[in-house]
Amino acid sequence: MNPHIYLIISIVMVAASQFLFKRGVGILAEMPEKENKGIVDYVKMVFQPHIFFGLALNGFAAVSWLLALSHLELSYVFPYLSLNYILIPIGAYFLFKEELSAKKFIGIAIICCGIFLIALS
Amino acid sequence: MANTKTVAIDKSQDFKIGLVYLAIDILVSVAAQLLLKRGMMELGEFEFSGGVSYLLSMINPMIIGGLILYACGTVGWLLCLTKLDLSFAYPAGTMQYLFIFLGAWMWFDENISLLRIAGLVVICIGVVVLALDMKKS
Repeated sequence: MNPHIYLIISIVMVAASQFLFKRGVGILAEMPEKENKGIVDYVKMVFQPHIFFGLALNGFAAVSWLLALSHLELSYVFPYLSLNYILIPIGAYFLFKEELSAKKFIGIAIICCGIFLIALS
Repeated sequence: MANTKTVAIDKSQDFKIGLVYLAIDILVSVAAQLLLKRGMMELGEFEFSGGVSYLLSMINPMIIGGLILYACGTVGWLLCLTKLDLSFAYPAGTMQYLFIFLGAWMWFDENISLLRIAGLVVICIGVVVLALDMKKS
C-alpha cells in the first residue's frame, strides 16, 4: 500500500481529535470550578466523552503514523502535519463558527504550496 | 476600570502558563518523534494488517518510550488549550519542525534537500500569515 495513505489517515484522525478536545475542554470549562482538584477530577476529565474519544483517535493515529514512519523519512513525513493548519481553521469555521477571513485563506494557500514542495522533495 | 485591569492581569498570567505548557509540549513531542522513527528503523518496513500479535510485534523499547512521550505531549497540549487559543498555539508549535529537521539530519542522516527546506520555510510563512490574523481575536 502507498505509505502516503497511512500518513493522510493519521493526520485526519489527529485533526478530528483536536475538534473533540476543543469541544470537550469547552464543556468542562462550563462546569462549576472546584477549589482543590483531586486526582479523581483529572480522571473524570479524561473520561469526558469528547476527550476520551479524542484520545482514542490519537491512539489509532499513532499506529498509522508508525506505519508511515516505517516507509518514509521523518523530515519528509513530519511537515505533512501542517495539513492540520488547513484542516483546523476550516473545521473550526464549520464546527465552532470561528471566523475564516481572507488572511486565513491566504495563509492556508501558502501552506498548501509548502506541502506541495515537500511532496516533490 | 479596576475590574478590566484585573481581567487583563489574569489573562497575561494565563498566557505565560500556557507558554510553559507549550514549550514542554514541543520538546516532548520532538523527542517522541525521534524515538518513534528510531524504533521503526530497527523494525524495517511495516504494512497494515489487523490483529493484536501484529501490533505487539511493533513494540520495542524505543517505540514504547516514544509513545509514552507522545502521550505526555498530548497531555501538555490539552493543558495548553485550557490557557491559549488554538489559533495561537498551533502557529507557535511550528518550532517543532525546526527541531525535527535538525534531529533527522544529525541522527538519521536524512536527505534534507534544498527543496525540502524551501517547503518548510514556505509552510512557516503560511502559518505566520494565519497567526497574524488570529492575534486580533
